Amino acid sequence: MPFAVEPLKCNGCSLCEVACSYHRDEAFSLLSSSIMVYRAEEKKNYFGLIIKFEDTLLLGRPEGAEEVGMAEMQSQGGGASAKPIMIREACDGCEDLDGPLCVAYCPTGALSRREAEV
Amino acid sequence: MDFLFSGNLLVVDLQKKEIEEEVLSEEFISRYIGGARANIALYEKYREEDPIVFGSGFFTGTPVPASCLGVVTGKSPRTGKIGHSPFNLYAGMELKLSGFDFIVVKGVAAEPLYLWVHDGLADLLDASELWKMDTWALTDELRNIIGEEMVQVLGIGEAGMKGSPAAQININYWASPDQFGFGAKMGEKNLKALALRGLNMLDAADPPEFNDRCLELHNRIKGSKVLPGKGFASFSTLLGGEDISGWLSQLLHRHSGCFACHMSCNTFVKYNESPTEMRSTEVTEPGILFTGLSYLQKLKKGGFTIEECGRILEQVSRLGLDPDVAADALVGEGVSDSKGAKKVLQELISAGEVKSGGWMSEEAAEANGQNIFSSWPPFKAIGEGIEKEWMQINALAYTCGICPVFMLTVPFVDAAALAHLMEPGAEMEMTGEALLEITQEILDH
Repeated sequence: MPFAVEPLKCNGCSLCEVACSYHRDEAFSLLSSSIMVYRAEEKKNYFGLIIKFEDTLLLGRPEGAEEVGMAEMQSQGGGASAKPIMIREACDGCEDLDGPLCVAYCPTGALSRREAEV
Repeated sequence: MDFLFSGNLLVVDLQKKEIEEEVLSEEFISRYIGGARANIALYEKYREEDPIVFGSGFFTGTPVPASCLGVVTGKSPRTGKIGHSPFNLYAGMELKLSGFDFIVVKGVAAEPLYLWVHDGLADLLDASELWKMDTWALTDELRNIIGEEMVQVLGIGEAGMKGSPAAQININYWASPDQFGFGAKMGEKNLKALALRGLNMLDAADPPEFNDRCLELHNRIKGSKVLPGKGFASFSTLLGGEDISGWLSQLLHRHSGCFACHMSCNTFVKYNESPTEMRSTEVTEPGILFTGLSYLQKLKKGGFTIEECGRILEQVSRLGLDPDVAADALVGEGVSDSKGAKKVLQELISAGEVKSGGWMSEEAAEANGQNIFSSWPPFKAIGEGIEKEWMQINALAYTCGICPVFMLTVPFVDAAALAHLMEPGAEMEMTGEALLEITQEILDH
Protein backbone atom coordinates (compact mmCIF):
# COMPACT_ATOMS: atom_id res chain seq x y z
CA MET A 1 0.00 0.00 0.00
CA PRO A 2 1.37 3.40 -0.90
CA PHE A 3 -0.16 5.14 2.09
CA ALA A 4 -1.39 4.71 5.63
CA VAL A 5 -4.97 5.23 6.76
CA GLU A 6 -6.19 6.54 10.11
CA PRO A 7 -9.99 6.33 9.76
CA LEU A 8 -10.85 8.28 12.90
CA LYS A 9 -9.04 11.30 11.52
CA CYS A 10 -11.29 11.29 8.45
CA ASN A 11 -13.92 14.05 8.48
CA GLY A 12 -15.77 12.67 5.46
CA CYS A 13 -15.02 15.61 3.16
CA SER A 14 -14.57 13.44 0.05
CA LEU A 15 -11.67 15.50 -1.30
CA CYS A 16 -9.78 12.20 -1.70
CA GLU A 17 -12.50 10.94 -4.03
CA VAL A 18 -12.45 14.10 -6.12
CA ALA A 19 -8.65 14.02 -6.29
CA CYS A 20 -8.64 10.40 -7.41
CA SER A 21 -11.27 11.05 -10.07
CA TYR A 22 -9.07 13.83 -11.41
CA HIS A 23 -6.13 11.41 -11.52
CA ARG A 24 -8.28 8.94 -13.48
CA ASP A 25 -10.18 11.18 -15.86
CA GLU A 26 -8.86 14.74 -15.57
CA ALA A 27 -12.38 15.61 -14.45
CA PHE A 28 -14.16 15.82 -11.12
CA SER A 29 -16.73 13.31 -9.92
CA LEU A 30 -17.30 10.70 -7.23
CA LEU A 31 -17.74 7.85 -9.68
CA SER A 32 -14.38 6.79 -10.96
CA SER A 33 -12.10 7.04 -7.95
CA SER A 34 -10.39 4.06 -6.33
CA ILE A 35 -11.11 5.53 -2.93
CA MET A 36 -14.47 6.41 -1.46
CA VAL A 37 -15.84 7.76 1.75
CA TYR A 38 -18.19 5.19 3.20
CA ARG A 39 -21.19 7.23 4.32
CA ALA A 40 -24.05 4.81 3.94
CA GLU A 41 -24.85 4.74 7.66
CA GLU A 42 -25.35 8.45 8.11
CA LYS A 43 -27.88 8.19 10.92
CA LYS A 44 -25.31 6.34 13.01
CA ASN A 45 -22.55 8.81 12.14
CA TYR A 46 -20.59 5.75 11.01
CA PHE A 47 -18.21 6.73 8.26
CA GLY A 48 -14.78 5.85 7.00
CA LEU A 49 -12.79 5.09 3.88
CA ILE A 50 -12.70 2.24 1.38
CA ILE A 51 -9.80 1.87 -1.04
CA LYS A 52 -9.68 -0.61 -3.87
CA PHE A 53 -6.40 -2.33 -4.66
CA GLU A 54 -5.83 -5.10 -7.23
CA ASP A 55 -6.99 -8.01 -5.11
CA THR A 56 -8.04 -6.43 -1.88
CA LEU A 57 -10.13 -3.69 -0.34
CA LEU A 58 -8.77 -1.59 2.47
CA LEU A 59 -11.65 -0.92 4.85
CA GLY A 60 -10.93 2.12 6.94
CA ARG A 61 -13.63 1.62 9.55
CA PRO A 62 -13.89 3.89 12.59
CA GLU A 63 -12.95 0.97 14.81
CA GLY A 64 -9.82 0.29 12.77
CA ALA A 65 -8.42 -0.33 9.30
CA GLU A 66 -8.11 -3.77 7.78
CA GLU A 67 -7.39 -5.19 4.37
CA VAL A 68 -9.79 -7.86 3.15
CA GLY A 69 -9.82 -10.02 0.05
CA MET A 70 -12.33 -9.17 -2.64
CA ALA A 71 -13.93 -12.61 -2.37
CA GLU A 72 -14.30 -12.27 1.37
CA MET A 73 -15.92 -8.89 0.95
CA GLN A 74 -18.41 -10.25 -1.54
CA SER A 75 -19.26 -13.14 0.72
CA GLN A 76 -20.03 -10.63 3.48
CA GLY A 77 -22.41 -8.82 1.19
CA GLY A 78 -20.40 -5.62 1.25
CA GLY A 79 -23.34 -3.28 1.49
CA ALA A 80 -24.85 -1.21 -1.29
CA SER A 81 -22.10 1.37 -1.16
CA ALA A 82 -19.30 -1.19 -1.38
CA LYS A 83 -20.58 -2.62 -4.65
CA PRO A 84 -19.65 0.28 -6.92
CA ILE A 85 -16.03 0.40 -5.78
CA MET A 86 -15.51 -3.24 -6.65
CA ILE A 87 -15.98 -2.52 -10.33
CA ARG A 88 -13.67 0.50 -10.31
CA GLU A 89 -10.01 0.59 -11.25
CA ALA A 90 -7.54 -0.35 -8.54
CA CYS A 91 -5.40 2.27 -6.82
CA ASP A 92 -2.08 2.70 -8.62
CA GLY A 93 -0.62 5.00 -5.96
CA CYS A 94 -0.51 7.80 -8.55
CA GLU A 95 2.70 6.30 -9.95
CA ASP A 96 3.14 9.17 -12.38
CA LEU A 97 3.11 11.78 -9.61
CA ASP A 98 5.29 12.57 -6.61
CA GLY A 99 2.85 10.73 -4.40
CA PRO A 100 -0.81 9.82 -4.10
CA LEU A 101 -3.01 12.81 -4.95
CA CYS A 102 -5.59 11.79 -2.34
CA VAL A 103 -2.91 12.12 0.33
CA ALA A 104 -1.95 15.54 -0.97
CA TYR A 105 -5.54 16.75 -0.76
CA CYS A 106 -6.53 15.10 2.54
CA PRO A 107 -7.00 17.99 5.00
CA THR A 108 -7.02 15.98 8.21
CA GLY A 109 -4.13 13.54 7.95
CA ALA A 110 -6.45 10.54 7.69
CA LEU A 111 -4.38 9.58 4.65
CA SER A 112 -0.61 9.85 4.81
CA ARG A 113 2.33 8.50 2.88
CA ARG A 114 4.05 5.49 4.39
CA GLU A 115 7.48 6.28 5.81
CA ALA A 116 9.21 3.96 3.36
CA GLU A 117 7.59 5.81 0.47
CA VAL A 118 8.47 9.31 1.62
CA MET B 1 -21.67 25.88 -20.33
CA ASP B 2 -18.85 23.39 -20.84
CA PHE B 3 -16.82 23.74 -17.67
CA LEU B 4 -17.48 23.30 -13.93
CA PHE B 5 -21.21 23.07 -14.62
CA SER B 6 -23.36 20.33 -16.07
CA GLY B 7 -24.88 23.06 -18.23
CA ASN B 8 -28.51 22.19 -17.60
CA LEU B 9 -31.44 23.85 -15.85
CA LEU B 10 -34.64 22.15 -14.76
CA VAL B 11 -37.95 24.01 -14.71
CA VAL B 12 -40.50 22.06 -12.72
CA ASP B 13 -44.16 23.03 -13.09
CA LEU B 14 -45.93 21.40 -10.18
CA GLN B 15 -49.39 22.44 -11.30
CA LYS B 16 -49.01 20.86 -14.74
CA LYS B 17 -46.79 18.11 -13.34
CA GLU B 18 -44.34 18.83 -16.14
CA ILE B 19 -40.56 19.12 -16.21
CA GLU B 20 -38.66 21.05 -18.84
CA GLU B 21 -34.92 20.98 -19.37
CA GLU B 22 -33.05 24.01 -20.60
CA VAL B 23 -29.43 24.38 -21.60
CA LEU B 24 -27.51 26.97 -19.59
CA SER B 25 -25.72 29.37 -21.87
CA GLU B 26 -22.14 30.50 -21.28
CA GLU B 27 -23.52 34.04 -21.28
CA PHE B 28 -25.77 33.23 -18.33
CA ILE B 29 -22.86 31.93 -16.25
CA SER B 30 -20.52 34.71 -17.38
CA ARG B 31 -23.10 37.26 -16.35
CA TYR B 32 -24.41 35.72 -13.13
CA ILE B 33 -21.60 33.30 -12.09
CA GLY B 34 -23.85 30.90 -10.16
CA GLY B 35 -25.42 30.30 -6.76
CA ALA B 36 -27.44 33.13 -5.24
CA ARG B 37 -26.76 35.62 -8.04
CA ALA B 38 -27.91 33.20 -10.72
CA ASN B 39 -30.84 32.15 -8.53
CA ILE B 40 -32.06 35.76 -8.43
CA ALA B 41 -32.00 35.94 -12.22
CA LEU B 42 -34.03 32.75 -12.45
CA TYR B 43 -36.38 33.89 -9.69
CA GLU B 44 -37.09 37.12 -11.56
CA LYS B 45 -37.75 35.23 -14.79
CA TYR B 46 -40.47 33.14 -13.12
CA ARG B 47 -41.49 35.62 -10.41
CA GLU B 48 -45.20 35.56 -11.34
CA GLU B 49 -45.36 31.87 -10.50
CA ASP B 50 -43.86 32.25 -6.99
CA PRO B 51 -40.86 30.04 -7.70
CA ILE B 52 -38.40 28.53 -5.32
CA VAL B 53 -34.99 28.11 -6.90
CA PHE B 54 -32.37 25.54 -5.92
CA GLY B 55 -28.97 26.45 -7.34
CA SER B 56 -25.37 25.35 -7.17
CA GLY B 57 -22.46 27.73 -6.95
CA PHE B 58 -19.73 28.27 -9.51
CA PHE B 59 -17.28 25.98 -7.68
CA THR B 60 -19.75 23.68 -5.90
CA GLY B 61 -18.69 20.06 -6.22
CA THR B 62 -15.12 20.81 -7.29
CA PRO B 63 -11.85 20.47 -5.32
CA VAL B 64 -11.93 24.15 -4.38
CA PRO B 65 -11.80 24.33 -0.56
CA ALA B 66 -15.21 24.24 1.16
CA SER B 67 -17.08 24.05 -2.15
CA CYS B 68 -20.09 22.44 -0.48
CA LEU B 69 -22.75 25.07 -0.94
CA GLY B 70 -26.04 24.95 -2.75
CA VAL B 71 -28.47 27.84 -2.32
CA VAL B 72 -32.26 28.05 -2.04
CA THR B 73 -33.76 31.36 -3.16
CA GLY B 74 -37.36 32.43 -2.94
CA LYS B 75 -39.88 34.66 -1.25
CA SER B 76 -39.60 33.85 2.42
CA PRO B 77 -42.79 32.81 4.22
CA ARG B 78 -41.19 34.28 7.35
CA THR B 79 -40.06 37.70 6.14
CA GLY B 80 -42.20 38.16 3.03
CA LYS B 81 -39.02 39.15 1.20
CA ILE B 82 -36.50 37.43 -1.03
CA GLY B 83 -34.07 35.33 0.96
CA HIS B 84 -31.18 33.00 0.27
CA SER B 85 -30.49 29.95 2.38
CA PRO B 86 -27.59 27.56 1.87
CA PHE B 87 -27.77 23.80 1.83
CA ASN B 88 -24.50 22.16 2.72
CA LEU B 89 -23.22 18.78 3.97
CA TYR B 90 -23.27 16.75 0.71
CA ALA B 91 -26.49 18.13 -0.73
CA GLY B 92 -24.99 21.05 -2.70
CA MET B 93 -22.41 18.78 -4.25
CA GLU B 94 -25.01 16.14 -5.14
CA LEU B 95 -27.13 18.76 -6.91
CA LYS B 96 -24.16 19.94 -8.97
CA LEU B 97 -23.26 16.38 -9.94
CA SER B 98 -26.87 15.38 -10.61
CA GLY B 99 -26.71 16.69 -14.16
CA PHE B 100 -28.63 19.86 -13.33
CA ASP B 101 -27.04 22.99 -11.93
CA PHE B 102 -30.26 24.82 -11.11
CA ILE B 103 -33.83 23.74 -10.42
CA VAL B 104 -36.73 26.19 -10.63
CA VAL B 105 -39.86 24.87 -8.92
CA LYS B 106 -43.02 26.81 -9.74
CA GLY B 107 -46.74 26.43 -9.15
CA VAL B 108 -48.63 24.27 -6.70
CA ALA B 109 -49.14 20.54 -7.08
CA ALA B 110 -52.64 19.12 -6.87
CA GLU B 111 -51.40 16.27 -4.71
CA PRO B 112 -48.18 15.66 -2.74
CA LEU B 113 -45.15 15.04 -4.93
CA TYR B 114 -41.41 14.62 -4.60
CA LEU B 115 -38.74 15.37 -7.17
CA TRP B 116 -36.07 12.74 -7.82
CA VAL B 117 -33.07 14.17 -9.67
CA HIS B 118 -30.09 12.05 -10.66
CA ASP B 119 -27.66 11.36 -13.47
CA GLY B 120 -29.25 13.85 -15.86
CA LEU B 121 -32.76 12.56 -15.20
CA ALA B 122 -35.63 14.08 -13.23
CA ASP B 123 -38.97 12.64 -12.20
CA LEU B 124 -41.92 14.05 -10.31
CA LEU B 125 -43.34 11.23 -8.23
CA ASP B 126 -46.27 10.62 -5.94
CA ALA B 127 -45.55 11.51 -2.30
CA SER B 128 -48.97 10.80 -0.82
CA GLU B 129 -47.56 7.91 1.22
CA LEU B 130 -44.66 10.10 2.38
CA TRP B 131 -46.57 13.28 3.12
CA LYS B 132 -47.17 12.80 6.84
CA MET B 133 -43.78 11.29 7.56
CA ASP B 134 -41.30 13.07 9.77
CA THR B 135 -38.00 13.97 8.13
CA TRP B 136 -36.17 10.95 9.56
CA ALA B 137 -38.74 8.47 8.29
CA LEU B 138 -38.89 10.39 5.00
CA THR B 139 -35.13 10.12 4.45
CA ASP B 140 -35.12 6.43 5.33
CA GLU B 141 -38.08 5.71 3.09
CA LEU B 142 -36.82 7.66 0.07
CA ARG B 143 -33.44 5.94 0.32
CA ASN B 144 -35.26 2.62 0.59
CA ILE B 145 -37.49 3.34 -2.42
CA ILE B 146 -34.58 4.55 -4.52
CA GLY B 147 -32.27 1.80 -3.26
CA GLU B 148 -29.33 4.10 -2.55
CA GLU B 149 -28.22 5.14 0.92
CA MET B 150 -26.29 8.18 -0.22
CA VAL B 151 -29.21 10.02 -1.83
CA GLN B 152 -29.44 13.50 -0.32
CA VAL B 153 -32.92 14.55 0.76
CA LEU B 154 -34.06 18.15 1.03
CA GLY B 155 -37.33 17.44 2.78
CA ILE B 156 -39.98 18.82 5.07
CA GLY B 157 -41.72 17.53 8.16
CA GLU B 158 -44.96 18.40 9.92
CA ALA B 159 -43.99 22.07 10.29
CA GLY B 160 -43.59 22.53 6.54
CA MET B 161 -46.64 20.44 5.78
CA LYS B 162 -48.74 22.78 7.99
CA GLY B 163 -47.21 25.93 6.52
CA SER B 164 -45.51 27.13 9.70
CA PRO B 165 -43.11 30.03 9.14
CA ALA B 166 -40.90 28.27 11.68
CA ALA B 167 -40.52 25.37 9.25
CA GLN B 168 -37.28 24.67 7.49
CA ILE B 169 -36.02 22.45 4.71
CA ASN B 170 -34.01 19.72 6.38
CA ILE B 171 -30.94 18.11 4.86
CA ASN B 172 -31.62 14.41 5.31
CA TYR B 173 -32.18 13.94 9.06
CA TRP B 174 -30.51 17.11 10.18
CA ALA B 175 -31.22 20.78 10.67
CA SER B 176 -30.20 23.02 7.80
CA PRO B 177 -29.23 26.70 7.74
CA ASP B 178 -32.72 27.59 6.41
CA GLN B 179 -33.97 30.50 8.50
CA PHE B 180 -36.50 31.79 5.97
CA GLY B 181 -39.24 29.23 6.45
CA PHE B 182 -38.64 27.67 3.05
CA GLY B 183 -40.00 24.45 4.51
CA ALA B 184 -43.39 26.16 4.55
CA LYS B 185 -42.88 27.24 0.95
CA MET B 186 -42.38 23.62 -0.07
CA GLY B 187 -45.41 22.68 2.00
CA GLU B 188 -47.53 25.31 0.24
CA LYS B 189 -46.47 23.80 -3.04
CA ASN B 190 -47.28 20.24 -1.95
CA LEU B 191 -43.65 19.33 -2.55
CA LYS B 192 -42.47 16.94 0.14
CA ALA B 193 -38.87 16.56 -0.93
CA LEU B 194 -36.11 16.82 -3.47
CA ALA B 195 -34.01 13.67 -3.66
CA LEU B 196 -30.59 14.28 -5.20
CA ARG B 197 -27.84 11.96 -6.33
CA GLY B 198 -24.99 12.94 -8.57
CA LEU B 199 -22.70 10.68 -10.50
CA ASN B 200 -21.95 13.12 -13.30
CA MET B 201 -18.54 14.59 -14.05
CA LEU B 202 -17.40 18.20 -14.03
CA ASP B 203 -14.76 19.24 -16.55
CA ALA B 204 -12.28 22.05 -16.10
CA ALA B 205 -11.00 24.18 -18.98
CA ASP B 206 -7.38 23.52 -18.05
CA PRO B 207 -7.50 20.54 -15.68
CA PRO B 208 -3.81 20.41 -14.64
CA GLU B 209 -3.64 24.13 -13.96
CA PHE B 210 -6.98 24.14 -12.11
CA ASN B 211 -5.89 21.14 -10.05
CA ASP B 212 -2.53 22.75 -9.25
CA ARG B 213 -4.13 25.99 -8.12
CA CYS B 214 -6.67 24.16 -5.96
CA LEU B 215 -3.94 22.06 -4.37
CA GLU B 216 -1.84 25.16 -3.77
CA LEU B 217 -4.75 26.71 -1.90
CA HIS B 218 -5.31 23.56 0.17
CA ASN B 219 -1.63 23.41 1.08
CA ARG B 220 -1.65 27.04 2.11
CA ILE B 221 -4.66 26.38 4.34
CA LYS B 222 -2.99 23.34 5.90
CA GLY B 223 0.12 25.35 6.59
CA SER B 224 -1.61 28.45 7.88
CA LYS B 225 -2.97 27.08 11.16
CA VAL B 226 -5.86 29.55 10.96
CA LEU B 227 -8.54 26.95 11.45
CA PRO B 228 -10.29 26.61 14.80
CA GLY B 229 -10.58 23.31 16.61
CA LYS B 230 -13.17 20.73 15.73
CA GLY B 231 -16.89 21.25 16.06
CA PHE B 232 -19.04 24.37 16.04
CA ALA B 233 -18.25 24.80 19.73
CA SER B 234 -14.73 25.84 18.80
CA PHE B 235 -16.16 28.90 17.04
CA SER B 236 -17.78 29.97 20.25
CA THR B 237 -14.50 30.54 22.04
CA LEU B 238 -12.83 31.80 18.87
CA LEU B 239 -15.36 34.61 18.83
CA GLY B 240 -15.25 35.28 22.52
CA GLY B 241 -18.46 33.43 23.31
CA GLU B 242 -19.17 30.92 26.04
CA ASP B 243 -17.12 27.75 25.91
CA ILE B 244 -19.65 24.93 25.56
CA SER B 245 -17.12 22.26 24.59
CA GLY B 246 -17.08 20.68 28.07
CA TRP B 247 -20.88 20.46 28.11
CA LEU B 248 -20.88 18.89 24.62
CA SER B 249 -18.04 16.50 25.34
CA GLN B 250 -20.17 14.49 27.77
CA LEU B 251 -21.95 12.86 24.83
CA LEU B 252 -19.60 13.72 21.97
CA HIS B 253 -19.19 10.97 19.43
CA ARG B 254 -17.34 12.42 16.44
CA HIS B 255 -17.02 15.55 14.32
CA SER B 256 -17.40 15.70 10.56
CA GLY B 257 -17.05 18.21 7.76
CA CYS B 258 -19.12 19.16 4.77
CA PHE B 259 -17.98 18.33 1.25
CA ALA B 260 -14.43 19.50 0.41
CA CYS B 261 -13.95 21.27 3.73
CA HIS B 262 -10.99 21.26 6.09
CA MET B 263 -13.14 22.28 9.04
CA SER B 264 -15.01 19.59 10.94
CA CYS B 265 -17.80 21.83 12.18
CA ASN B 266 -20.57 19.27 12.53
CA THR B 267 -20.84 17.54 15.87
CA PHE B 268 -22.54 14.22 16.52
CA VAL B 269 -23.68 13.32 20.03
CA LYS B 270 -24.98 9.95 21.12
CA TYR B 271 -27.61 9.54 23.81
CA ASN B 272 -29.06 6.14 22.93
CA GLU B 273 -25.75 4.30 23.24
CA SER B 274 -22.30 5.02 24.59
CA PRO B 275 -20.82 8.04 22.82
CA THR B 276 -17.48 6.24 22.72
CA GLU B 277 -18.97 3.39 20.69
CA MET B 278 -17.30 3.65 17.29
CA ARG B 279 -18.67 0.46 15.79
CA SER B 280 -21.91 0.19 13.85
CA THR B 281 -24.20 -1.51 16.34
CA GLU B 282 -27.82 -2.61 16.32
CA VAL B 283 -28.85 0.79 17.68
CA THR B 284 -30.17 2.37 14.51
CA GLU B 285 -30.74 5.87 15.90
CA PRO B 286 -27.98 6.51 18.43
CA GLY B 287 -28.10 10.30 18.44
CA ILE B 288 -28.11 13.49 16.41
CA LEU B 289 -25.80 15.64 14.31
CA PHE B 290 -25.58 19.26 15.45
CA THR B 291 -25.03 21.51 12.43
CA GLY B 292 -25.19 24.87 14.19
CA LEU B 293 -24.20 26.62 17.36
CA SER B 294 -26.54 29.29 18.66
CA TYR B 295 -29.45 26.97 19.47
CA LEU B 296 -27.05 24.87 21.54
CA GLN B 297 -25.93 27.96 23.42
CA LYS B 298 -29.55 28.99 24.03
CA LEU B 299 -30.58 25.57 25.32
CA LYS B 300 -27.52 25.28 27.55
CA LYS B 301 -28.26 28.72 28.96
CA GLY B 302 -31.86 27.58 29.49
CA GLY B 303 -30.59 24.87 31.81
CA PHE B 304 -30.92 21.82 29.59
CA THR B 305 -28.48 18.95 29.93
CA ILE B 306 -26.70 17.90 26.78
CA GLU B 307 -28.81 14.72 26.71
CA GLU B 308 -32.08 16.67 26.96
CA CYS B 309 -30.78 19.02 24.33
CA GLY B 310 -30.05 16.13 21.96
CA ARG B 311 -33.43 14.50 22.49
CA ILE B 312 -35.29 17.78 22.04
CA LEU B 313 -33.39 18.69 18.90
CA GLU B 314 -34.18 15.26 17.51
CA GLN B 315 -37.88 16.13 17.91
CA VAL B 316 -37.22 19.50 16.29
CA SER B 317 -35.46 17.90 13.33
CA ARG B 318 -38.12 15.27 12.85
CA LEU B 319 -40.79 17.99 12.75
CA GLY B 320 -38.72 20.03 10.27
CA LEU B 321 -38.53 23.07 12.55
CA ASP B 322 -35.86 25.75 12.62
CA PRO B 323 -33.88 24.80 15.77
CA ASP B 324 -33.06 28.41 16.58
CA VAL B 325 -36.71 29.39 16.66
CA ALA B 326 -37.52 26.24 18.61
CA ALA B 327 -34.80 26.99 21.18
CA ASP B 328 -36.19 30.52 21.68
CA ALA B 329 -39.69 29.11 22.23
CA LEU B 330 -38.57 26.36 24.60
CA VAL B 331 -36.43 28.62 26.74
CA GLY B 332 -39.07 31.37 26.63
CA GLU B 333 -41.76 28.99 27.87
CA GLY B 334 -39.53 27.69 30.63
CA VAL B 335 -39.63 24.11 29.41
CA SER B 336 -37.32 21.96 31.47
CA ASP B 337 -37.23 18.59 29.73
CA SER B 338 -37.87 16.79 26.47
CA LYS B 339 -41.38 15.66 27.51
CA GLY B 340 -42.49 19.23 28.09
CA ALA B 341 -40.99 20.24 24.79
CA LYS B 342 -43.53 18.38 22.69
CA LYS B 343 -46.41 20.70 23.59
CA VAL B 344 -44.37 23.86 22.99
CA LEU B 345 -43.14 22.62 19.61
CA GLN B 346 -46.71 21.82 18.51
CA GLU B 347 -47.79 25.33 19.56
CA LEU B 348 -44.90 26.74 17.58
CA ILE B 349 -46.04 24.88 14.47
CA SER B 350 -49.53 26.32 14.89
CA ALA B 351 -48.30 29.89 15.45
CA GLY B 352 -48.87 32.21 12.52
CA GLU B 353 -45.67 34.17 12.88
CA VAL B 354 -42.16 33.76 14.17
CA LYS B 355 -40.34 36.34 16.24
CA SER B 356 -36.83 34.97 15.92
CA GLY B 357 -35.24 36.47 12.84
CA GLY B 358 -31.94 37.01 11.15
CA TRP B 359 -28.58 37.74 12.65
CA MET B 360 -28.69 41.51 12.34
CA SER B 361 -30.57 43.82 14.61
CA GLU B 362 -33.24 45.98 12.96
CA GLU B 363 -30.94 48.99 13.27
CA ALA B 364 -28.02 47.18 11.64
CA ALA B 365 -30.28 45.89 8.88
CA GLU B 366 -31.48 49.44 8.24
CA ALA B 367 -27.90 50.63 7.90
CA ASN B 368 -26.40 47.71 6.04
CA GLY B 369 -29.15 46.10 4.03
CA GLN B 370 -31.77 43.50 4.77
CA ASN B 371 -31.36 40.10 6.30
CA ILE B 372 -31.30 38.34 2.96
CA PHE B 373 -28.94 35.52 3.98
CA SER B 374 -29.49 32.84 6.57
CA SER B 375 -27.64 33.62 9.74
CA TRP B 376 -25.46 30.61 9.34
CA PRO B 377 -24.08 29.38 11.50
CA PRO B 378 -26.86 31.01 13.47
CA PHE B 379 -24.62 32.92 15.77
CA LYS B 380 -24.98 36.65 16.12
CA ALA B 381 -21.41 37.27 17.25
CA ILE B 382 -20.07 36.35 13.83
CA GLY B 383 -21.91 39.21 12.22
CA GLU B 384 -21.98 41.78 14.98
CA GLY B 385 -19.76 44.74 14.28
CA ILE B 386 -18.76 43.56 10.82
CA GLU B 387 -22.22 43.61 9.21
CA LYS B 388 -21.12 45.08 5.89
CA GLU B 389 -18.10 42.81 5.47
CA TRP B 390 -20.06 39.73 6.52
CA MET B 391 -22.80 40.55 3.99
CA GLN B 392 -20.17 40.84 1.25
CA ILE B 393 -18.58 37.55 2.25
CA ASN B 394 -21.98 35.90 2.22
CA ALA B 395 -22.81 37.30 -1.23
CA LEU B 396 -19.51 36.06 -2.62
CA ALA B 397 -19.70 32.69 -0.88
CA TYR B 398 -23.32 32.04 -1.85
CA THR B 399 -22.48 32.81 -5.48
CA CYS B 400 -19.30 30.78 -5.72
CA GLY B 401 -20.65 27.84 -3.70
CA ILE B 402 -18.14 28.16 -0.85
CA CYS B 403 -19.01 27.98 2.83
CA PRO B 404 -19.12 31.59 4.12
CA VAL B 405 -17.94 30.59 7.59
CA PHE B 406 -14.89 28.99 6.01
CA MET B 407 -14.23 32.17 4.04
CA LEU B 408 -14.49 34.25 7.19
CA THR B 409 -12.12 31.93 9.02
CA VAL B 410 -9.61 31.63 6.17
CA PRO B 411 -9.39 35.22 4.93
CA PHE B 412 -7.01 34.50 2.05
CA VAL B 413 -9.76 32.47 0.36
CA ASP B 414 -11.20 35.73 -0.91
CA ALA B 415 -12.58 37.20 -4.13
CA ALA B 416 -9.12 37.48 -5.69
CA ALA B 417 -8.25 33.87 -4.85
CA LEU B 418 -11.54 32.62 -6.28
CA ALA B 419 -11.24 34.77 -9.40
CA HIS B 420 -7.76 33.30 -9.90
CA LEU B 421 -9.36 29.85 -10.18
CA MET B 422 -11.98 30.86 -12.76
CA GLU B 423 -9.69 31.04 -15.78
CA PRO B 424 -8.30 27.50 -15.59
CA GLY B 425 -11.62 26.32 -14.21
CA ALA B 426 -13.94 27.66 -16.86
CA GLU B 427 -12.04 29.92 -19.27
CA MET B 428 -13.42 32.95 -17.47
CA GLU B 429 -11.12 35.90 -17.10
CA MET B 430 -12.06 37.50 -13.84
CA THR B 431 -10.61 39.79 -11.22
CA GLY B 432 -11.51 39.90 -7.58
CA GLU B 433 -12.94 43.39 -8.03
CA ALA B 434 -15.13 42.33 -10.96
CA LEU B 435 -16.36 39.32 -9.02
CA LEU B 436 -17.28 41.51 -6.05
CA GLU B 437 -19.18 43.87 -8.35
CA ILE B 438 -21.31 40.99 -9.57
CA THR B 439 -21.97 39.62 -6.10
CA GLN B 440 -22.75 43.12 -4.83
CA GLU B 441 -25.82 42.95 -7.08
CA ILE B 442 -27.31 40.46 -4.64
CA LEU B 443 -27.08 43.04 -1.88
CA ASP B 444 -28.47 45.76 -4.12
CA HIS B 445 -31.37 43.66 -5.39
